[in-house]
Amino acid sequence: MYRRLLLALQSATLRLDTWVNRVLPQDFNPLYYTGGLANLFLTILVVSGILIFLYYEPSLEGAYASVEFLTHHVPYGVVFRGIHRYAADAYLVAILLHLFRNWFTDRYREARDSQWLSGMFLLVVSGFAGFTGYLLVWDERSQLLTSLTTQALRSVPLIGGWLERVFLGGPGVSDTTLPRFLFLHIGPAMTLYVLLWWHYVRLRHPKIWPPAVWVLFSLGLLFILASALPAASGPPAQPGASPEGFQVDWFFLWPYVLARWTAPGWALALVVALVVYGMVIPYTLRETPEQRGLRALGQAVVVEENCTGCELCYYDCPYNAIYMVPSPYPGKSRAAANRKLLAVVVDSRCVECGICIGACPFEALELPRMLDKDVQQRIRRGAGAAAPVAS
Amino acid sequence: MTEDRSSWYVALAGFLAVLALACVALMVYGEWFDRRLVASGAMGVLLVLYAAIVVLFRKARLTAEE
Amino acid sequence: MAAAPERMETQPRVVGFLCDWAVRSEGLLNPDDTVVGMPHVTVIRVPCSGFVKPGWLELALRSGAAGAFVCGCPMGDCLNREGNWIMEDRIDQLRKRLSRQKVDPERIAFFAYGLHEREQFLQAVADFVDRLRGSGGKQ
Repeated sequence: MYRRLLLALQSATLRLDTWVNRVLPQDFNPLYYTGGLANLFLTILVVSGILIFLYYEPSLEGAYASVEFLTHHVPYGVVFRGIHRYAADAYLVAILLHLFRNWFTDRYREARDSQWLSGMFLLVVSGFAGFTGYLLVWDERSQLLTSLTTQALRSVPLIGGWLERVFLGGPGVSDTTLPRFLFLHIGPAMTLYVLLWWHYVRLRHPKIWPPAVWVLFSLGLLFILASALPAASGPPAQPGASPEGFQVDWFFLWPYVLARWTAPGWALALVVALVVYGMVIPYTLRETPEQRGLRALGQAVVVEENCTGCELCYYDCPYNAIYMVPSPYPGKSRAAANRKLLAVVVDSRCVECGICIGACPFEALELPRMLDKDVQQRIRRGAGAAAPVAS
Repeated sequence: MTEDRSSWYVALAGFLAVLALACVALMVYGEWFDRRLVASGAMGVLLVLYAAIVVLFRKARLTAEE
Repeated sequence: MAAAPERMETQPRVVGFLCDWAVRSEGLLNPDDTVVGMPHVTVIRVPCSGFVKPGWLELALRSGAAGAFVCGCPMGDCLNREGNWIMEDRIDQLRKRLSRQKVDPERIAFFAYGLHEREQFLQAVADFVDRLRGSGGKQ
């Protein structure tokens, strides 16, 4: 049932691709650049965030006023604030598209679990940074979010009190709280780049930037949104006040909508459960390749006597699964007699796609269950030649 | 038929370019008279128009894939 | 779509490679690799279009095929991220090499069709065969 659902979703995703390709030129299809779009929005966030940071004052008395100053008195300050606000939403949308697309098209299995795991971490850290951004304004919404979060953290068994103190930067809301929030906003944003390194490390030529058309369009859209619906603060936070409701940003604050109906602790537990489930997805579906309707051709094997150390397979492998190592001894074929390097396949990264075989002009790589000589036999049969033709 | 289409795309791109010029005028107006939201909104429309022009040029085969 | 049966024996032979992830191949091929309804076209399924060695396409031409093609997923949609881009590059290089050797480079083709585009794929193969016949097939 679950598997059928995923197959249907895969089919729908690919159908959507071809449909978009009919409208747009193929290399402009935004669905092929969901990761690049997320990276674009992250860059916009960092640049606009630095500009806002120059004006921000992390203190209980000054925070709200400094944001108001930025909004109303700095030229185009409100635009930058709006861009930061809407780019965050667009960033999360791009991440979720990226997640679902790669989930539905099976691009998370086996050798690609490292990208999936780092992606889940990126999602969590991004969500957290987005949430702490709402605290920095220090209006009524920030105050309510702070108290809800504090309640949720306090209800964590054993380490609840400690978590609360870490979150608030002290035993309660005090002058050290907003510098702590500021760190909790910018620190995770920097962590994202460490995680992105992990996200890319097993990929050769990762597509990290969308085509120019989408850079123009996304920036333009953000400018339009920031001008048409300027970002604004709520009423300032009052010590001792207990505000009731707030304007919800559904992308980042949905757990708090849940917290309205249940105890905040349960909302936190649900978020944790979702993330943990997300992380085990690559390990839950233990189907054999036959059950998935695939032929298991076996991982690529280097025919070491033919390898010339030319590095062509190394450059073409999309997963960085081939390493070039110093050759311990010369190869047997004439071309390989003077080699300095030898290709080695890293089993845990190989997905059995065979791209390295197509790259190799020296017959030095084979997929164990689809050998070069068998393919040649089938080609000759198809081409109508009974016997091999001398070249 | 494709020839017909591509000239139509170019005409549309030309029209969008005129609109983009109007956006530049709006940006100058907004900056001059201190209506900065108008200026930044015009900037956003301008960027979106440029994106559309890039797509139209490609569909008219004036630019090629990479 | 396929040519009329009485013209079948005059059809040029074609060898192709089809990515497992591109056009859905259930019921597409006979057990001897030929396409159902097109006995002159042999299609070998491969795990990714990037698996195909350019030498195999040359071998097909040398062994008597009038043409050879590779079909991958739509560009950008490759399960292995860039198998079809790599294959397209290799085919471009192979074409240049062939034209230096005075072999018509149009005998090699690259297609990109997705899971749901079987009709378009078959049409493209039929058009390719027609082109080959028009240019005199094998020399």
